[in-house]
Amino acid sequence: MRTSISERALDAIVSGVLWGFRILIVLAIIIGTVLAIRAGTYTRAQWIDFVIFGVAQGSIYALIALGYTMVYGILRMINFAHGDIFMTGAFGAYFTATWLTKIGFTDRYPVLGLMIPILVAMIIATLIAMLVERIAYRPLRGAPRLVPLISAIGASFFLEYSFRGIFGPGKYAYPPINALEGEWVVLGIGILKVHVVVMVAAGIMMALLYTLVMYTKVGKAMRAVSENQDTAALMGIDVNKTIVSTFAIGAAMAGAAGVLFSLVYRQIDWFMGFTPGIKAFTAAVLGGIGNIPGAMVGGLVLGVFESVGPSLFLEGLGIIRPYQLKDVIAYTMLVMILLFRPSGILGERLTKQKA
Amino acid sequence: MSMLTVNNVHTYYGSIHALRGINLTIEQGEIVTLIGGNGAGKTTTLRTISGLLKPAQGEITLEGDDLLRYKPHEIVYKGLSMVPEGRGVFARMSVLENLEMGAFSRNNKQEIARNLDHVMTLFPRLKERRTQLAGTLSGGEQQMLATGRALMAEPRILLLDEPSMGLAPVLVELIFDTIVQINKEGVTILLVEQNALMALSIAHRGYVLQTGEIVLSDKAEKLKSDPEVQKAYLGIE
Repeated sequence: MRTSISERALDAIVSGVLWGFRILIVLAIIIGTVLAIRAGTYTRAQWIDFVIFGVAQGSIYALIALGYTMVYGILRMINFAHGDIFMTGAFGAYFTATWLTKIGFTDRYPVLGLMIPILVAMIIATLIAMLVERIAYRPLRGAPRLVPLISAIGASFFLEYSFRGIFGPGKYAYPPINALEGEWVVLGIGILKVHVVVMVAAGIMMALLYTLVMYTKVGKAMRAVSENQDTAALMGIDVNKTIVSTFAIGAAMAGAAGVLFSLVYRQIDWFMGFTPGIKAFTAAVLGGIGNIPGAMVGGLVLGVFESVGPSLFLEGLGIIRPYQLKDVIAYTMLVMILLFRPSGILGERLTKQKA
Repeated sequence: MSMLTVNNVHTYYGSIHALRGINLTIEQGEIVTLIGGNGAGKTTTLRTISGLLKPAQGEITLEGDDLLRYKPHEIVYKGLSMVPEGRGVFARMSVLENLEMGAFSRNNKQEIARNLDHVMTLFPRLKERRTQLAGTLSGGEQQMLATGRALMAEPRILLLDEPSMGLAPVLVELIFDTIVQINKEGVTILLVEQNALMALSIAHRGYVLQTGEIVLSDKAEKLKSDPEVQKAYLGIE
């Protein structure tokens, strides 16, 4: 009896602390926001800029997050090498784009100059992801869940340090597309052309992916395998082939995201996949891991929060260099979701459907 | 040639010797039932036949073709379908999508459409619920869906694992009537059941399984009147 009482007391303390934590964060956000808006440091146009940048950044997160969520859905495994798959795509695109720019192709055909590197990035990322699946994950199918996770971290290091070894530790300048310099004015709001391209390209990719998963035979097989591998096999679905397709499609999205990311930040290096990878993982968890629309929503929400958050609630609280804390927002969100709503934004609907 | 033969099959679950030399023969057009208590190895037998478990030893042939050569997903292409224990519908997919998955092994769209119509006439309830997510169906409806889904592959032999599990008596009767009808349409049936009385009342022949071994096999009526079987499986003293 004594243990049960002290256990109950401990539970009460833990839940009290958690509630306190929750209330503190909500209060900080509200007070910060009010103070920031009162202070009026930023104009309306600047706020809109923040949001647009957030959406552009968020759609890149969303593209990467899809790979995490799809692989989790089918294997219940977090593919921690996924961020590095994104990096390999960016490298493939870099060499292609540099060459296309050098021979003057990009200036003459800017649309193709954009699309060809994306295509190359998708192909390279897909091939590498399939290789990683074959070598590092498939032999561990059926092992305890921690084992492929460790293997994934190993694969991540392997890719990072191989690229560092081959291409060196320095940064490469990603060639800009001249036709995408400057802004377009939409409804009186100036938007960087690059951001428009990122949003449109990401939107098209996500629409394609959604169509594929919902309406094609491969997509339906993927959903069937993610529900029950044995039953899927009884239908005549080749489970291994379907798992490989899932990796391949997720990697293609990450590869494309690598190009979009490079267009925005204009430089690439061997370690560039790490932070976006973790952010995208956060986005996937935020949306409800395993849930495809969830990854898209989670990416956008995270992108906007990260972009608006520093000036909106951190600066309002009197923090001096709020942008230094941009990443803190993302990681705080990750911890908060895991603590308070592990099923994510769209997760609940999922569990209801399951019931 | 027999439809299905299982010859001296041994299957292990880890270190547990679950099947200890099973022999079964099923002729074209028969309904054969496999009865036995909990843990006797009924489900293991079906999972071994359908390729989900690899036997350590023995032979399984479908119309003379060695089934052990194939991967589980290839076996359905040979004309063998299974309705797994607990139905195994894809809960987050619609009824229609579940049925489409059943026809995954086939490509002729017209034939698939004809088959879909047939399944819908067999189970009108599925037609009413075709856009609903399978997870929202009742147990009986899920059983209909799982059975319909297996039929979508146009099997020549259908394996059913405990179709009566958790269903109200009225529904059990309906499912069993449908099994008889499916059989009349030319599909050979291997039925695993806890509900031995029901199973023996529609089957032609039966096997009694006990701790991984076949202990008895006979015509269904004979088994039904066998005092040992009555005592152990039919609840008749």
